[in-house]
Amino acid sequence: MYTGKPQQRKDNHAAVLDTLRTIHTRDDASKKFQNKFLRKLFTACIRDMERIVQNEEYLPLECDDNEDNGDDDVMKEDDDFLTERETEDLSIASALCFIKACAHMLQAYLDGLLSCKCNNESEDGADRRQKGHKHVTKRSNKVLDEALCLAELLHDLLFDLSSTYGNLKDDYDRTENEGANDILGYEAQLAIRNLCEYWWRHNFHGRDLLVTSLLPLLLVKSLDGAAQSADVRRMYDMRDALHLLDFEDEESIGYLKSLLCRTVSSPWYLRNANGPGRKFIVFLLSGLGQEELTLDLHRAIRAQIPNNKVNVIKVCYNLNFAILLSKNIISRFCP
Amino acid sequence: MSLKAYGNIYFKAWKEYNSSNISIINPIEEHILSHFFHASIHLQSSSTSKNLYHILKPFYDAKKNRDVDAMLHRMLSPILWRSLNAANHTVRKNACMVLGETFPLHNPLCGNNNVQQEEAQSVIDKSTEALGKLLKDEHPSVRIAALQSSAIVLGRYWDAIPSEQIRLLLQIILQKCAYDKSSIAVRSHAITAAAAILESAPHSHAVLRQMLPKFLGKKIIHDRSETVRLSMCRMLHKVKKVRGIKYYHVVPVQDLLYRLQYEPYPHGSVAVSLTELICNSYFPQGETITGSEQVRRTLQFLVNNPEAAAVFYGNLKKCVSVRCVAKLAVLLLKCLSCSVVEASKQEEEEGSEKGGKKRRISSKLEEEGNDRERSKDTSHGNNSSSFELVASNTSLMASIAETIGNLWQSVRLSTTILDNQYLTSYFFQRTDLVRNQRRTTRTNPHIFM
Repeated sequence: MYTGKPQQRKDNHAAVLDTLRTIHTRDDASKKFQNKFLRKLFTACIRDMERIVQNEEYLPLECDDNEDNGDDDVMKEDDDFLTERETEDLSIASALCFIKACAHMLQAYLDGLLSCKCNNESEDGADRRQKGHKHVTKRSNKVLDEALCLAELLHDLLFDLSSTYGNLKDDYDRTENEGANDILGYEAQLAIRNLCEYWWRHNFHGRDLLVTSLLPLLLVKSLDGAAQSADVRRMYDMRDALHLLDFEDEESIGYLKSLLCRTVSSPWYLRNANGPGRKFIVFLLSGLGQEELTLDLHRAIRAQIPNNKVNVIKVCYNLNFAILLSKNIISRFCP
Repeated sequence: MSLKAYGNIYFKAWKEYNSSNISIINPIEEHILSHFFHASIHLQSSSTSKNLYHILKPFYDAKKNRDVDAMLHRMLSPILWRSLNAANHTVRKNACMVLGETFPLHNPLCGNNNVQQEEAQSVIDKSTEALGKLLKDEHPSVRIAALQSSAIVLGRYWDAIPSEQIRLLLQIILQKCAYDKSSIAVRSHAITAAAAILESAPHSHAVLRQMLPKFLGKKIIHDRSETVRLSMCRMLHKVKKVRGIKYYHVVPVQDLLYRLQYEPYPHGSVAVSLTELICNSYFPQGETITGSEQVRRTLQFLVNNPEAAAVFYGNLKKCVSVRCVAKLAVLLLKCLSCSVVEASKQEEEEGSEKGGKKRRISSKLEEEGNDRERSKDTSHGNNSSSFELVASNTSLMASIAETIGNLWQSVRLSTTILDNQYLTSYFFQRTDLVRNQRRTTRTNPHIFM
């Protein structure tokens, strides 16, 4: 899949994703055959993924500047080093491409499951309405164990990828210094993040296993200086996942708790009166039911009360108005 | 970032916890709100106290909700009544503010309707009594807080409070606090409280119609402090908006004009506020008002009270548009020129015929096509004295010239802006025209403007 020219690679990729999306809706194939094919595909991916994870093929090698090989031929050494470096870069790129492709494949598979389920539900819903069923319990959507296993492997890569390639912005504001592997790594991380969110949002089986790394990452992103309102919205959509965390274990939850406490002083969270940011803080205070966290948040807010302004926007407006006025006066007397 | 945001967040969190009934004890109420309410009464720093007020405001605003009302009763009743009599004046002040916001502090969830009504009535009596006492407190900051709370209580619950208690509170506000010699701020806040009651309680108009002229009347407008005078002017502006009470019944026009005349700063905030207040009477505007009517009232004002008129027209620009001011200046200039032309003509006629009659300038203005109505200025019930617009009336001519100067001086800066440049050119065009006309009249007395 990852050989040949880039355009051909893209076409192959698209064809595979298309197949995964439509495999459940095809009439000509039996369900047994579909699952067998998918199991084989995902098992193969797991095997390769395990190898990549074990060898850490997706991470760049650290250069050891102090290493002295004692060779006198400087030119030869440089050439060798460059060739070696290029080979490494290629292998990292291929690992990252594979990770990204796996994430896309799983998402396409989930897409296919969801569209198939929607079709069935529309038929079932009509039958249930005819039979007089009022309440329909929400069950988790079944997925293949192999798919979940692959998703878990991908999810475990999130922290490594974000710490190594996480400095790029979402709007692809790339500079020349950022290499192709950085971009690939960021895209792979983005694909995994989207996959985990998708898994959670559509209530697929095993979603509890795919949020532990995702939540801190989303929180950090929403508290970042370059955050956008969409990041806060994503965090709010994932709020129920916080119920899965053990807030009693101080050691493991300490970092996440400190991030959660930072939300009460973030302008992105406080901006809109009925926005997701404020709703998220309300959820943390009341909906989560964690008394200790409630008190921590209260302490964080209380610390800000003495030196806070009623409305920062009003202050900014007054300041701007004063500047405008002074400019007008100056221009009047000194044209 | 914003305290209002925190207030809303706490309120929503409390409401959500309360509605979900996760446990009997609401931790937000138990650990957070109890702490906040206690601090709102016992905080020493006024700025922090104000900030805290903004956080608790959503709870005060939602007092009509029975659950919120019950919660406020649970949180505050053990500490509020005791704090109103505390030795520390800051505690008394804070408690007074909280009393105003949470009035009447009773439990709406206890007993049947009769019990609730009895309890509410006893709380109202207790609160008004406490407010009356706090209005006479020895510390000015407590008296100010009591004035603010009284304004809130009387404004919101006028119908629920017995009339005797209302009269008692109003008498203390208007008779004692408004004449508080020890504090300017108390006097100013007393006037502001009266204005706030007037604005928020329509049923108060009948009572205040009699009380305001009686207690505030002529004295407060001539207070030593500019802050108090300004508060009085602002109150008169609010009275002006009330249909049943006339502002010139509260303070007679003569006093307003006297104040305008002797205000230490002719372009200060009091003078501007008074100008705005009487603007409709001395410089009426609207589709039905003609230029000649505006000129007539201006001349009347200049004849009756030239000093007050000078201040009024000096501040007119702050109340009306630049165009209106420039138009008035041009009209007055026209009047002035007509008087001079008329006088020159009559001199010529007297020279030739010996004994021509004086003509009034009103007929001259008719020739110019302006609509002329000779109605007396009855807007304030003033008896306008008749006057003749003739060049020999030197004082009037001087007043007109001074007013033109004042008007033009006030809009001079505005007319440098590109939009209003045409006014400048128009005014100077008229000035040139008058100058040329005078020259022409001297050479040929039969040609008029």
